[in-house]
Order: sequence, then structure tokens, then C-alpha cells
Amino acid sequence: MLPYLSHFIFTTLAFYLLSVISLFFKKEKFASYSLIIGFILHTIFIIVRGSISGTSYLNPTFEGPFFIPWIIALIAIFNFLKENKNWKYLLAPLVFLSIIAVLSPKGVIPPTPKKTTIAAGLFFLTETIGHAFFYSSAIISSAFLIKKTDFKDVQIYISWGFVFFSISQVIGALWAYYGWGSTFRWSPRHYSTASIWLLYALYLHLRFMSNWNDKRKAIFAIIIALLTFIVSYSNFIKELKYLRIGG
Amino acid sequence: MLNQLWKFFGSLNLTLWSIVSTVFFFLLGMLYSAMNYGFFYQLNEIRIQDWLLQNLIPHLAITWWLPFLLLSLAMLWLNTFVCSIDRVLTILKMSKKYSLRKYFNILSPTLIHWLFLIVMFGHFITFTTGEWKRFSLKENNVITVKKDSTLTVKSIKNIYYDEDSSFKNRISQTEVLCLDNDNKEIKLSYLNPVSYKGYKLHLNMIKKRGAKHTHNNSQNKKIDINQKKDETCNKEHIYNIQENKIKKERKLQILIIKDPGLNVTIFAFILILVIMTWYYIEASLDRRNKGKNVN
Repeated sequence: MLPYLSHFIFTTLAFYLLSVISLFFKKEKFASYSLIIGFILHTIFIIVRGSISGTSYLNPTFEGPFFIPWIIALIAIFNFLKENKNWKYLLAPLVFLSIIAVLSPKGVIPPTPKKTTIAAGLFFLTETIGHAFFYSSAIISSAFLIKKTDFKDVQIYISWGFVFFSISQVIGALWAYYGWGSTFRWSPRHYSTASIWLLYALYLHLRFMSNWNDKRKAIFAIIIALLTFIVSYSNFIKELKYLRIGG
Repeated sequence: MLNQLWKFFGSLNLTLWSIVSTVFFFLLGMLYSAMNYGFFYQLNEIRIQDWLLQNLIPHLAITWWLPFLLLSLAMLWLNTFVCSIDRVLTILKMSKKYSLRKYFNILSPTLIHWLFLIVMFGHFITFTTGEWKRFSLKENNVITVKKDSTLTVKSIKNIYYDEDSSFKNRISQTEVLCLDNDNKEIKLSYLNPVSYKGYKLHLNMIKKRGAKHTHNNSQNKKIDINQKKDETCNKEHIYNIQENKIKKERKLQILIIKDPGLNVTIFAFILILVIMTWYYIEASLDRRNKGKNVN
């Protein structure tokens, strides 16, 4: 199955694209079926990729470039089942991030001993879920600004994103302690995550400020999601130089 | 006057600007640290005031942002502190209006703010009073943990992944056996810090030989601005299978840490985790119930 791993993610992208094209031609039902088929293929890809090593090493399963679009697809399907129209807008980041997934190397970076802990797996899991919610909130904010859709989902997505991201930071701090001896390191990685956490904490406080209407909040949500994207995907770019196994 | 000061430090505008400035300086720090990794890495193993005294002025071009970051963090701490006191005073007055569960739900965000303050305080204690030492680990090396307390390295054993794994021949764990003055066995391995006479002993690996990283006294370290060192998560290449290559790059070390702020920080972190999860589950149940009532 391993040699076909790339084909799986490529076919996944094809179905996600088909979903967008179907929506363009107002074939909503067909679009939803394409999304679900794409999601099933995406799930198989993630499971197979996660088991490349033949060990219980969890991190490849939750690697951002592949797992973030999977979570966004899940949120879109959940919205579709709840008859929330927002699922259509989520297809935009889904396709965009799936293109990045297709272009990313599919192999697994062999772990250092400090990475082979359940804490590392949980950290990557919760961090990527947090990011997926943040990106989703940005696209719903854009829809609000352009199409005047409902804004309340932005608050919900950011709240859940913040919960998962905060959990990841606490787990990450504990992992950092066990691995490196302190909960916070003076390093670019920690600065960037602290910045993201603070910005979303600030967003959650904006509701107490009367001069921040929904429009301003939507713009702010887009800006901080863009910043999150730049910071986290630049980390993925840095990882391109590392040796990989399989895929 | 005092009232005005209190209002100023508790204002939401100050929250906004202190977060924005903290983020700004964190992002600047990210860029400077990425370009001078080894230089800023030293901050992790030297008290911050000592590091600033040694490096702030001589390397002002790349260190200027750090005092501003610390100032922004201090402002954020003060702001959160004043806001939290204000909020607690308001909530205390409401205690009789709600059930215990609902009341705890209302109190939870404030508790999280208090715990956030404790986390920041814990880190402050760590960075200003911590002690860090590094020693190379080789068989028969003698390591001085503190006066009259030494460890002798008896054996170092690498454990490799199974033959049927894709990671075969790569190190999955390293076990180091040490004996102390009383012939007590101390076993070190990655991710398993050991408490020993008020210190935590961690097993660590660095990429390059870099003699400047094996000082016994962290307070007197000299900084080599050009020194490159990688402690990022993905230094898999230093655990490579080819032993001859490893000898050039890999260096096993013991980290000896005394961190008075650690327990405070970890305790607050765990409480945040519990309270935040509980709060958001409750909030979403609440939303769902409200939705049902509307329908």
C-alpha cells in the first residue's frame, strides 16, 4: 500500500475539488457526497501514513499538513449534517490546504527518543485541531464580510480552537519539561506559539470592548489566522530538509 | 489618584495594548532567535538577569527587543492581576444567587486568569533563580551534582528499534547507569527525569561537540555568538545508524537543574487544563440546552 500513498492524497484532493465544482453548478447533494468520499480517502491516507513506521509512534498521524485539512473536512461534514450552510465556505481552505498536503513529502521523519511519548502525540493532535478551528473561523469571518452570513459561528470556532490550542500548550509545556528540563524554552518555536495563544486570548476578550463590532472582529480573526498560517507552515517548510522514511 | 491608577492598570485597553506589544516583541524575538540560535539558546541555562548583564549592551543590535518583551509581559501580568481582583470582588457578591455548579462555572474564567498569573510567576522564579549545569556523559566520568555529591557513570546503553520497524537500527532510548557516593544506583533515560538531592537530572543530546556547552558553572558561561546548536524536535539525523558518523556529531549529556519555579508552574498548568476543559464542556451543554428550550 505504501507506494500508493501519494495517490490516495491526490485522489482525496480530486474529490474535494469535485465538491467545489459541484457547488459552483449548484449541485449541492453531489458536492456533499464528493466531500464525504474525499474525507473517507483522506482518513485512509492518514491511518496508512501513521502506521508506516510499524511502531506505536503517533506523531505522523497528526502531522499538520495532512491532519489540518482532515479536521477542516470533519468540521465541514459536521456542519453539513447540522444543516449549517457554512460547510460550503469551509471547502475553500480545505482545497487550498489539501493542495499543500499533496505537495508535501509523504514520508515520516524518524523520531528522536524525546518524541516517542504519548505527550508528543497529544500535543500535535490538539495543536493541529486548534489551528484547523482558527483557519475555519477566518473563512467564516470572510464569508461574513463578503456575503453577510451569520457571525456567531466565528466565536464558537475560536472558542473551541482556543480550548484545543491551550490544551496543546499545557501538554507541550509538560513534554518540554520531561524532554528538555523546562516548561518554556527561549526559542523561536515557543515565541511563535505564545504569540498565537495571546492573540486568540485577546480575541476572546474583544467582546467586552464596546468599540469592537462584528466587522472589526472578523477582520481581526482573519489577520490572526493568517499569522498562525504563516508561522506554522513556515515550520513545515523548515522540516522539508529532514530525512524521511516511506511514502 | 490611587483609584485612577487602579482603573488604568485594570482597563481593557491596557489588555489590548500589552498583548499587542508582547506579541510584537515575541515575533521580533522569533526572528532574532532564528538568526542567532546558539546565542539566544544560552538564555535557557543562565539566569536572565546574568544573561542581560553580560549580553544586552555588547550585542544591543540583536538583544534590544528582550527588555521590551519583559516590560510588556510585566504590564500584562499587572493588568491581569488588577482585572482578576476586580472580577473576584464582583463575583463574590453574587455567591448566593446561583447554585454551586453554576457559580463555579461563572468563577472558572477568573480562576483561569489567576492560574495564568501563577504560571507567569512560576516562570519568573525559574528564569531568575534557576540553576543549570551540563556535563558530558562517558563511561567512568565523574559528575559533580553539588559539593560532596558526585555521580560516576557506570554504563551507557543504547536501545534500538525492532528489526521489523522502518526505524530499525535507530536509537529509541538510551539508558545510563550512574552510581553516587553511597553506591546508590541512578538510572537516566530520555524523558524520565530523576529527582536527586534537590536537583532534577535529565538525559540530553546535542549535535555538536561545542565545548562551551559543558561548563560546570552556568553563571560564568561565555557566549559564542556564532555557535550553532540545534535542540529542535527534528534532529533525527544525530540519532543516525552510522556510528562513525555519530561520533563526530552526537554528544550525550546530563542536565542538572534546580528550578524553584517548576512545581508552581506545573501545578497551575494542570489546573488550567482541568478547569478550562470543564468550563467549555459546561458552556457548550448550556448552549445546547438553551437551543432545546428555544425549539
